[in-house]
Amino acid sequence: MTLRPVVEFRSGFPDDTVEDDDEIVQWPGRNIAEFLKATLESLGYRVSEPVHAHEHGWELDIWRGNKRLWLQISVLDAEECYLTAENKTSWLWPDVKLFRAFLSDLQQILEADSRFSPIGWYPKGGPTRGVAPTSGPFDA
Amino acid sequence: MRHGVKLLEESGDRAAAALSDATRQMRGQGGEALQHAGEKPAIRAVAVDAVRDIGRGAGVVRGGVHAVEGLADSANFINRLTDPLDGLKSPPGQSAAAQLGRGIVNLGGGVADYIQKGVDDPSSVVRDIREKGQEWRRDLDPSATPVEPTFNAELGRNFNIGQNQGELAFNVGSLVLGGPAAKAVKGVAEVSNLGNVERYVAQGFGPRAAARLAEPYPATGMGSHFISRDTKLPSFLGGGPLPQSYMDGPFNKLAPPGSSIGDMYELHFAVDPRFYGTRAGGERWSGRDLGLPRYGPLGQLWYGSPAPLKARIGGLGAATGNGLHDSEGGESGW
Repeated sequence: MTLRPVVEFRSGFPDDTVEDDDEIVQWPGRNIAEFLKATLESLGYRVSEPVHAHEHGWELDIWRGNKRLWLQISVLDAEECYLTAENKTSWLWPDVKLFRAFLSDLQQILEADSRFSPIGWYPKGGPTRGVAPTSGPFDA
Repeated sequence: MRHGVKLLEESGDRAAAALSDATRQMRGQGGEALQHAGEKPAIRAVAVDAVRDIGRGAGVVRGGVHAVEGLADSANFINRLTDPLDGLKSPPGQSAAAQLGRGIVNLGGGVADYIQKGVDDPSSVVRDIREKGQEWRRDLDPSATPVEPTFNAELGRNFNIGQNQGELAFNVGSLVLGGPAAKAVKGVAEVSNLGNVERYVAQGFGPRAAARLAEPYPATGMGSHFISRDTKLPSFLGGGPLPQSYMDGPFNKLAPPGSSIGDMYELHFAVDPRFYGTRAGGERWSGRDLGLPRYGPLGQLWYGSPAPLKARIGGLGAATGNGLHDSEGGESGW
C-alpha cells in the first residue's frame, strides 16, 4: 500500500500574514496550525505549539505516546495550500501502522471542515508532473 | 555586508591563519628533526623524505584553504552553471551558461576568454597542457629539478615539493568526492539575479513582487537546510534538537552568497521536496506555477549541500587518503 502524506487544499481560513513594509514578519498559516493542534489534541494526540518555519510556513510536532509525527502547514495563498505529514517514529523501524492511523485521522479532520476544500492527496514530494491527486491518503 | 559572505570570509581568514600556523609548525618540526641529521650522510636521504612528508601535510591544509576561498567566491555562479536545469529555469539568454558565453560575467582568471580561445584554436589548449605538465613536473617531482648545493636549501626544496604534492592530493580528493565542477571553475566570480527585476516580471509577477524577488536574500532568511531543522537527536542522546549553531551554520544552511530572493526560492524548490512555494511582495510564489522541476535524491544531496560542506568532505577524503597512503607505505605519518 502506497501512502500519500501530502495534502493540497484551498483554504477558507482568513489570511493571517503579518507584514512590516515589504518584509513578511509572520508567514501565513498559523491559524490553520492552531486549528489542527486543537483538533488533534481532541483525538488524543499530544501536539506542540505551532513552530514558525518562515518560508516553509508552520510546523507541528505530534506525539502518540513517545512516538513522534510531524506536520508542516504551507500557505502560498488561499488557492494553494499544503499539509505535509512525516513519520518520525524511528529512523530504523518506523511505526507505519501509527502513521497510517494518523493519516486517516487527518483525512477525517479535513473532510469534516468545509474550510479545507477541495482536497487532493499526493505522494511524498507533492504535486509533480504526471502525478494526479487522489481523494484519500492510501493507494490500494 | 551580508551575514553569509561574512561567515565565509571569516572561515577563510581563520583557515588562512591556521594554514600559516600549520606551515610554520611543520617547517619547525622538519628543521628540528633535520638539524641533527644533516651531518650524517647515511640518514640524510631519509631526512629529506621526512621533510617532504611534512610538506605534504601542509599542502593538504593549503589545498583546503584555496578550495574554500574559490568556493566562497563562486558558489552561486557554480550552482547555476553546473545546474542542468538552469537553462530551463531561466528566461531566454539569462542562464548562467548563456551569460558565460556572452562574456558578461565578471570572471576571475579570464576563464571566459580561455574557453573562447580554446574553441577558436584547440591546439593552443594542447600546448598549454604540455607546458602546464612541465610546470607540474617541476612542482611535484623531486628529480625534475637539480639538487640544491646546501643541505638546508635541499630541505626547503623538498618541503615545497611536498606541499605541492599535498595540495594535489587534496584537489584529487575534492575532484572525486567534493566537487569536480567547483574545482574546475574555481576563481569564477559570482553571478546572480540580484536587481534583475525584468526576469521576475517575465515570470509573470507584478512590479512590487518582482522588485522584492530581485532583492538580496536576507542573512536572516531561512535558507534551505541540508539536515532538516525538525531533526531531533536520538533518545539516548536526550532527544532534543541539534545545536542551533550547527543547524544555521555555513555547513548546514544553504543560502549561496549573492543570491536574490527569487534565486533562493528557485534553488530551495529544486532541492527540498517539502518546499512548494511561499509569498513575495504580496503575491504567491509557486514552483508549480513557474513550471520548475525538482531534483531527484542525488541532485538534492549534491545541490542541497552548502559549498563549505562539499569542500570539507573533499578535504577530509583527501587527507584520509594521503594518511592511509603513508601508513601503508610504512613511512612516517603526519
